[in-house]
Amino acid sequence: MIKLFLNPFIAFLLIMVMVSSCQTNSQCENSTESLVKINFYVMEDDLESAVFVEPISVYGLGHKDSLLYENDSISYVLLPLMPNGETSEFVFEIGSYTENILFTYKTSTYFESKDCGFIANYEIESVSYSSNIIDTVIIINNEITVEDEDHVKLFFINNNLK
Amino acid sequence: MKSIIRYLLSSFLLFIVVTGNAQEDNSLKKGLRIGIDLSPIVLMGFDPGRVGVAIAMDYEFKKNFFGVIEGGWLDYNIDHPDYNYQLNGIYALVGTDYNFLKQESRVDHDIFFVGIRYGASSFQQQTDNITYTNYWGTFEDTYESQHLFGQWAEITGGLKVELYFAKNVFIGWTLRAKILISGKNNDILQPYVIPGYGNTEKNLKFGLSWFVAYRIPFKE
Repeated sequence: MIKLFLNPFIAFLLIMVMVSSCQTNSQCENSTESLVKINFYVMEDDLESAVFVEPISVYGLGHKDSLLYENDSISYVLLPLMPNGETSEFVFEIGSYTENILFTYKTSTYFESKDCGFIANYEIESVSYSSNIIDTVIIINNEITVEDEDHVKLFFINNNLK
Repeated sequence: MKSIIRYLLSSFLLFIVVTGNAQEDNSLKKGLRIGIDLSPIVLMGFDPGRVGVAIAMDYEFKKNFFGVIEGGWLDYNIDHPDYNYQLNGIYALVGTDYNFLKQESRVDHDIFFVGIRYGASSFQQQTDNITYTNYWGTFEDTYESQHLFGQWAEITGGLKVELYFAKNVFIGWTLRAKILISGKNNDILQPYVIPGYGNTEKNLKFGLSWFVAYRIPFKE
């Protein structure tokens, strides 16, 4: 009596539960690369203020034919690092100025999901740069992950930008 | 790990022998029930890389109390364009179920139970042919084979029904609340699944198994 009632009804319910708990997320989310976010600033009257820089082109050293940014007007850049490398260097061309920025970092990889596979995260150890138009570069968050976070503040020399 | 399984199995069998000889309630026949879990077969339909077997044995050592041993193995392969992941291992669970379904007749062997389990798994994982491709180019990586150990606890509940047309044959389902104790944290690479527990993304999860079982009756 009880068993006849319980069995098929609950079995059906539980099959539903089981099927729904088998999530087949065959889509991998878009942002599956960890990128360094550099926001641009100038100091105006001792106050930090965000700026748009134009025209700016950015590419990785040795990859001039493959521009990350081409004659853009932007207030920040997102830069990819070399996985399993220790340093990555970038060239910023701003108007007539050329700057080099070098990041030194550690790579750590982890398994994101079956569909996304492995993802590299980075821990920035230091940054070095040329100072033709750059005043200073400050690392505010050295953990580079797939999350959209601010990592670096780049201050330009105010007069040279104009 | 294998010696733990052997110890538990032999103490379990010893237990059966001891209680078989004791003065017991003779209204229901005693027997050792052995069942096979059908959910690995279903899961293989969803995920062909996942091959596994799960069996369960239980024995009513005291009225309405069942001693349970479960076990199985898992062979998990992910063949992805960017990586190959391989994991395989064995697991075992021991525990007790309590039946709170009143017997309606003297031959009614159906049970509706709650129970607890302790589970452990010995397994290995490795990954090779990992490729990362980004702006800078394509890079390769490999994770060497690692031998790992995992443990978890379960709270179970379920139903086992004797088929009216086939004596000693049971079908049923078990709902499990699993709590991971160890085996997930690993400096090198967190294992994707632990055999017997499942996906390691959550430390608390639910699972369902359904099975067919046969009860080997003992002579009175």
